[in-house]
Amino acid sequence: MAELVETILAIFRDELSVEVGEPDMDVIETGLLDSLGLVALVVEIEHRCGVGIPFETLEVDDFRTVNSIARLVEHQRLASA
Amino acid sequence: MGLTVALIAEEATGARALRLLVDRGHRVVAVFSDAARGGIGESVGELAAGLEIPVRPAAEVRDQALGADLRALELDLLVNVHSLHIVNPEVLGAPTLGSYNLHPGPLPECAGLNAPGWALYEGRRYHGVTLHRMTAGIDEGPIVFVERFEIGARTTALVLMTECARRGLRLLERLLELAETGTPIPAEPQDLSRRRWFSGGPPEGGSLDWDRPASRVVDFVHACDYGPFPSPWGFPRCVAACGEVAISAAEAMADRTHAEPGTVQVDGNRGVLVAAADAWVRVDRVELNSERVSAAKALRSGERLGPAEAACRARVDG
Repeated sequence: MAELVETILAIFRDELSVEVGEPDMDVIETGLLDSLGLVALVVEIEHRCGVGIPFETLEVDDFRTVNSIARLVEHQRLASA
Repeated sequence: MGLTVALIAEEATGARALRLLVDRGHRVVAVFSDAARGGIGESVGELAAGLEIPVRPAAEVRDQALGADLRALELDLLVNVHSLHIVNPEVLGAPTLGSYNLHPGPLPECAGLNAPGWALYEGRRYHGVTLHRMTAGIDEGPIVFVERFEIGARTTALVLMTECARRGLRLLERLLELAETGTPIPAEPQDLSRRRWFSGGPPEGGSLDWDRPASRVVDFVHACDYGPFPSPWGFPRCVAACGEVAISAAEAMADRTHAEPGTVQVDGNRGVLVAAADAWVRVDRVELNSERVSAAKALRSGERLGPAEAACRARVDG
């Protein structure tokens, strides 16, 4: 899980040019993530983490913190295993 | 085979397309993009500059003279991702393998602007993405790939936009695979008798008339829903006793009603219900004076919601 958190922090840094201070920081509430950023984030997570995030069940609240994103990715990995 | 490519691009999808081209080892000779997008993070132009790719104003693609410049660069492909500039025919004709546009809607039936929003507004059960060859007519060129997919009953505009970006980028990868291997690129002419073209919106000038089926009310709300982010269309507006309100969260109820459309009924168990033409709609949240509040704070039992004054009406052709 720690590795996943690092990967997601790196995606924020590399793709969105955003430094997320803490993995529990609400990136939507703090304005670090906007709608176009969400698009970039979803596409890049799938690319780097090798998981699909089904759009039928996509919940924006899952993208509020790096930790919640990591949990979502982990869940998708287990579901597709 | 490494290709020589020019990219016209905006937004996150455009940035991802640029990374895709670079990651696959292609030579991107120019990126045409508008100034920084004003949002969070890196614009396409900033990304390109960081990769030491020449960045030029997107408006240049309207200029006939650019065609000769691109021919001199021996361009293989010109790719347009989410840029709204109309490309000059001389420019379109410059690349040896053609000029291509990624459109976030199925063609020919959903051409124009903000296709995901219009699909939801119209209550369609499917949407799609199209990669097509660019011609002088906007979104009219032969189709390389079109991929259609189902829309869930609760899908919002934000989710659909995200899905279009994701699927669209896959189509772009498929195009590159063909071009890299010298495989002929499909070019299926569009049946333009089926073409519908949508303007930027919002539909109905953003005004909500409750005299329509409950499902259509909810479709309109979903079409505007980029929550928790701001909606480019705003939410559908109507006039209540407290002033103009915008409906930001609503769900169609199964029970039918004969109440006058727009009539509000506050039910202790079920919340705030508003009559549509055939059934009740539960309204959970509204925007009042630019603040999002629970519907119970803004609406009163017995009052009747009327349509707000419409902003400029959107155009739908076809």
